[in-house]
Amino acid sequence: MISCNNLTVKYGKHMVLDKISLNAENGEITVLLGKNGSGKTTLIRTLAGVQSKFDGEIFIDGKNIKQTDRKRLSRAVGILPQNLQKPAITVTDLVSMGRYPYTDAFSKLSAEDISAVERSIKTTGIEHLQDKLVCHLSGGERQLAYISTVIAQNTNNILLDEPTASLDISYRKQFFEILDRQKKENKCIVLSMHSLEEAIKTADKIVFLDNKKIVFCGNTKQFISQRIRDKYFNVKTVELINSDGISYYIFE
Amino acid sequence: MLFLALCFIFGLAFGSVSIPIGKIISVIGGESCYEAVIIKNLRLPRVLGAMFSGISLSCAGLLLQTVTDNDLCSPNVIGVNSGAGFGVMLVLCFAPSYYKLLPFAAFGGAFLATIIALGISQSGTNHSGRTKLVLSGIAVGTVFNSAIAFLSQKYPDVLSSYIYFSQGGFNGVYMKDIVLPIVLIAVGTVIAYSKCKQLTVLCIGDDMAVSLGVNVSKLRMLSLLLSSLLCAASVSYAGLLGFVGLIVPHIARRITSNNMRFLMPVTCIVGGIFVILADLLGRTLFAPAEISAGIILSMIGSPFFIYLLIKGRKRND
Repeated sequence: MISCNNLTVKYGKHMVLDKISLNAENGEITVLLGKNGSGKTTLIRTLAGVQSKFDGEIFIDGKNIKQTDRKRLSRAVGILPQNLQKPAITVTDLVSMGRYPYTDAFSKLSAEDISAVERSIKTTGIEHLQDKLVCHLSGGERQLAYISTVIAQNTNNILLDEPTASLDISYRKQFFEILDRQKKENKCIVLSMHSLEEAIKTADKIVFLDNKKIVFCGNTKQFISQRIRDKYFNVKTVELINSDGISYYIFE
Repeated sequence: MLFLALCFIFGLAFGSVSIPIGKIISVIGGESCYEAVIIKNLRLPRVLGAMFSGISLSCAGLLLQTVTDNDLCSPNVIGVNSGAGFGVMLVLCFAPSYYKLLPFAAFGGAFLATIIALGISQSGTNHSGRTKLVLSGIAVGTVFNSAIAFLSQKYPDVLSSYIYFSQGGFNGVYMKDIVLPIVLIAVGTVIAYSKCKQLTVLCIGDDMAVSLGVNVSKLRMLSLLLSSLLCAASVSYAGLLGFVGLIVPHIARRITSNNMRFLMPVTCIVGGIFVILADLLGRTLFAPAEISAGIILSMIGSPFFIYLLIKGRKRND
């Protein structure tokens, strides 16, 4: 579970987040939406403990991150950043790095670690990429390899910054299946994205950021009924209901 | 490792006077003869010095390339060598009789250059970090190089020493000159090796490394200080040897994986071999005349640097 109270982040004199408060529960997917530059990435980095300079309070599984040591925090929260590196290491080596929080400076991976790595590779369906170098992978393959690393980290809380940005349709389908499995394992998942359609399909809770603040926090039905997207992006939402009574939304 | 041992023995065997390997073994066994004097007093300190210089500079280069995520980074590029050179120059100009101060002066200069470069890279609101560190290092290196040039003009008596120092080499290196630097290099290399796992994780980016529990800023700071220590130790007796820190990590990456646990030892071994062979070439190519190892290294290093630039450009294209 992730929560924050009055979270304020500044880069020098430039304020990026202004008194943000939110709760993301276990077994839920919380989607962050907002225009470019609205502070989604900064919020994710700060909640993960990567951006260490902030005012306010952040709690991961009820513990204040300012009073949690780095090693312990790394066993509680994992992050998938937006920009992924292309190191010349194999996918297996990359995923094995997810076990770093559980090993000492010189110790090798234990049987449990190796099993976690294998499980994670299987969960993300990248067995065929295991021996390939990360720098030789396509954008989508690389994204899945990094997601596999985050899963191998086996944290209760997962933060993903625009994870679908470089995925084609088949990889997106694969990604949302992975996400669903993580949700069923009662993990707390927070991700940012731009696609409203995918957000509505995936999210249990939507948080909309605008001008450094949260302007909406609620479920998808409330999000649509309050026409948040219409208001901030100047688009029109059309609801279509099929013969089975299932709603579909088109954004003009 | 075996190749390094072979190079070490060749280093002892060849020079203006060739000594058969059998004789070297006898000398190691305790035989006293005139070859023993050459080996113990001249060649052993020289080859040991070359080996440890190679180890220290290549390890420093690997550390810098890793923490700046820049393949073209090396102690030369970020001004560490220039800082160390400035420290040595101060001793040569103002306290020439205190030659024992040289390692400390070199370390002080290297440390000062590193701290200034680091301070500049962290200043301002835009903490773009790694690129800024390289750029500030280049600027700091230029300032120290100017200071060295100024001192060499102001104190022309030390000019010949400075020219020899700036070329880098192992002629006239004795055991008393290298004991302390070797201890510093050994300590620095062991500490660097103890951080291998964290340095490997750094290759997947700062954000993920932090999320995995690595204290990235502390690791970066420690690596910079270690590279200062390693460079300074080498500079104090070998002068400014260029290109080792740049080239050797690239050669090592072609031999082994990018996992630091393997890459760092291979880099150190290749570095040792590289400098021993450069010194050996310098001693034997035009024997009895000598070319300093620094000149040989620059002759190999410059084309390699150009190759890296072209290769980098093609990859970017």
